[in-house]
Amino acid sequence: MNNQIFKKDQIMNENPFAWFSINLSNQAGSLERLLGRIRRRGFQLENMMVTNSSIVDGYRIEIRVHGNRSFKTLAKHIANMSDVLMVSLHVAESSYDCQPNAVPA
Amino acid sequence: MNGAQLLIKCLEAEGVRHIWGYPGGAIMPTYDALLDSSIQHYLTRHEQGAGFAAQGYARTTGEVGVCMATSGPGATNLLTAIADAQMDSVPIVAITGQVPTNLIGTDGFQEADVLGLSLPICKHSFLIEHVDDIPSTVRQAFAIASQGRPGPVLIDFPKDVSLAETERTPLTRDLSVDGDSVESTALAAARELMATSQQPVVYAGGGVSKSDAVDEFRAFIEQTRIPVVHTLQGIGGLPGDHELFLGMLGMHGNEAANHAVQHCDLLIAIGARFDDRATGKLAEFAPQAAVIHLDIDPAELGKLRTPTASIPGDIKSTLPHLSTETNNLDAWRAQCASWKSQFQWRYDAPSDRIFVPEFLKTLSEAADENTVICCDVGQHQMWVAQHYRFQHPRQHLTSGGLGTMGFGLPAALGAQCAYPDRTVINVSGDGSIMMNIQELATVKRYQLPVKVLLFNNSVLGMVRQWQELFFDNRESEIDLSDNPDFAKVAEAFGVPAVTIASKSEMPAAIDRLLYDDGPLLMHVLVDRTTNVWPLVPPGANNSNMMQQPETT
Repeated sequence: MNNQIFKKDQIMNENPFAWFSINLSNQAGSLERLLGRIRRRGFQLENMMVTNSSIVDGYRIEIRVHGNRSFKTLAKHIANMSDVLMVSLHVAESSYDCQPNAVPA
Repeated sequence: MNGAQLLIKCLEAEGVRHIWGYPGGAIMPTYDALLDSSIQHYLTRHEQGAGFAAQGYARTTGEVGVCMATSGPGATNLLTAIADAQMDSVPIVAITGQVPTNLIGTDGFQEADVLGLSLPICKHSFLIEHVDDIPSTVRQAFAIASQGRPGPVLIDFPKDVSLAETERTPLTRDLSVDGDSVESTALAAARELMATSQQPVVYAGGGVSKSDAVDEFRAFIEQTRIPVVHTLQGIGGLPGDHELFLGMLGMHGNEAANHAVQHCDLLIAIGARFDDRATGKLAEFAPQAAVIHLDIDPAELGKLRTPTASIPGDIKSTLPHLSTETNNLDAWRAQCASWKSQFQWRYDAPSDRIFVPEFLKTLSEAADENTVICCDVGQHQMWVAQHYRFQHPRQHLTSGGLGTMGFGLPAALGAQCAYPDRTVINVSGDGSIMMNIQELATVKRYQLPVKVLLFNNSVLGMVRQWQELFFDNRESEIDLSDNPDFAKVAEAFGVPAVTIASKSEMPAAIDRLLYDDGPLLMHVLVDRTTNVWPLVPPGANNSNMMQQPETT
C-alpha cells in the first residue's frame, strides 16, 4: 500500500517553490479536488499546465506551487486522492516520487 | 430494472442492512425501489440526523454506514455530518439525489452543486453520469470509505440516471485486504529507540480501533509495559481502569497523562495525529522525546511533528512487529503511577446539587461494558472523557475533530439500530440537544430504547467557561435561561421524561437509565457556574494546566 520512494530524507521548504508532476484520472471534479487540496493545505498555485493525455488515460499536470509548509507532506496529501495516478515532487535538484496511496476510483 | 433499483441491489450486495434518510423529489425513484428491498430505512426528521445516525452505526460497528437525502437542501443538510465523518475518519456512504443531468448547471429547482460542495470534506465524491456506471461506482465508494484511512464518500445520483433502464447487475464484493509490509529499516530504528529509552510513553489515538487493532494494541502494551495516554478518540484502547493507563492527554486531559508526555524521552504515537487539542503548544509538546509514529495515512507522518522513526501502514499489521525488549522501566512506571495517584479526580463538590463528574463516574460503575455512550459537544463531552471508564473504544462515540453540537442523539439512534439489545445513552447538554432534538420523533417512531441524559445548566457552558477565564467574564450570547421544559418537550414527542435536581435522586435516575425498557429523557438540572478542570490555556504547553480553585 505504501510505496513512497524517498530520493532525499527530508525535503523541507528552504526554497518556497516546488514543482509537481501529477497524473490524474478524468472524473467529475478531479481538477477541482486537486486545486482545492493544494489551497486547503496552505499552498498557492503559481503556474499550471494541464494536458488531456491518452498516454496516462487522464490529465497530465505540471504545477508550480508556493508555500511555507512541507512540500513532501503536500505530495502525500495529493497521493491520498483516489483519482491521482502518480505524483512526483521536484524541489531544486531533489525529487520525491509518491505512488498513489488511495483506493483507485 | 431501472437505475434506482440497481443502486439498491448494489447496496444489498455490499451487505447494507440499514439506511437513514429523508425523501424528496430527485431521490423519489430510489425511495420507490427501497420498498422492494430487504434494507430497513429509518426516516429521520432532518437530513443531518440521518448523516449522524449513519455515523453512529459506523462508529459502533466499524462497518460502512449509509445515509440518503434528496438534492439541494436535502444534500446540503447532510454536509455537516459528512465533514464530521471526514475529521474523525468514519466510513459512511452518503447518497444524494440530483436534478436530471440536462438540468445540472441551469439553476433548476432544488439544484445545488453537491459534488463541488463535498470535495473538500469527503474522502471521495462521485457523480453517476450513466446508469451502467452504478455497480462500479457503488463498489468503489464502499472500498474507498472502508479501506486505508476510513472516511465519507458521496454518491450524487441524478434523477434521470435513476430512471434509466439497464441490464447491469451488482459487482461481487471483494473482502480480501492485503496486510501491510513493514519497512525493515524503519522498524529497526524504532526498536532501537524502544530498547534504549528510559522513559517511554505510548500516545494512542482513534486509529487503534479504526484499524480493528485493539487486541494487538493491548498485547503490545502488556508485552512492553509502557505507560499509555489516549486521545479523545482513542479512549477505551486500554480499559479505563488499567494500571498503565494514565488518562486522556491534552487541553482537558488528566495531569498525570500530560506530565508523562512532557517528561518522556520517547513518544510512541499509534494512530494519533498530533491534534492541537491534544498537543497544546506544538513546539513544546513532549520536548525531550524522540518520536515513533505509526499511522495508516502516510500524510500524517511528519505533518505536524517530524518523527524519528515512522512506520506507515495498518496498525493491525504493523504494531505486532514493534514489540521488543525494553529497558527496565520500573522507576519510570513508578513515577507515572505517582503522578496518577497525585492527580486523581475529585468528586467532593460541596453541594446538594448534582455534580456532573460524580454522576458520570457513578453511572460508569453501574453500567455494563457493552453500554454505548454518545456524547454531544461541550462541557459534558469532556466530563464523559474524563470520568467514564470505557472498556472499549467503540463504546465511546464523540465528535472529536469537527466538534459538532447535535451529534449525540442521532448517533445514538444509529448505534441503537446496530445493537438493539445494548444500553445506548446520549449524554447531552441544553445547548447541544436543541441542535437535533427533532430526532426524538425518530426515537418514538421506531420505539428505540435510546436514553437521553441531558445536563441542563441553562447556559452554553464551555463558551461561558472560556468567557469567564479568557474574556474577563464578559458573557456574550450564552444565556439559555429561557430553555423550554425539556421533560415536557420529550413527553410531547411521546418519550417519557423525568426531571431531577438533587443528589439524592441520582441513584434512582441511574437505575432508570440502565434498566428502563423503552426510551427515556433524564433531565438533570445542574449548576451554571461549574467549569471543566483542569485546563491548558490556549497557546500554552501541556505542562501549564490551570487547576480547579479550592473554593469551587
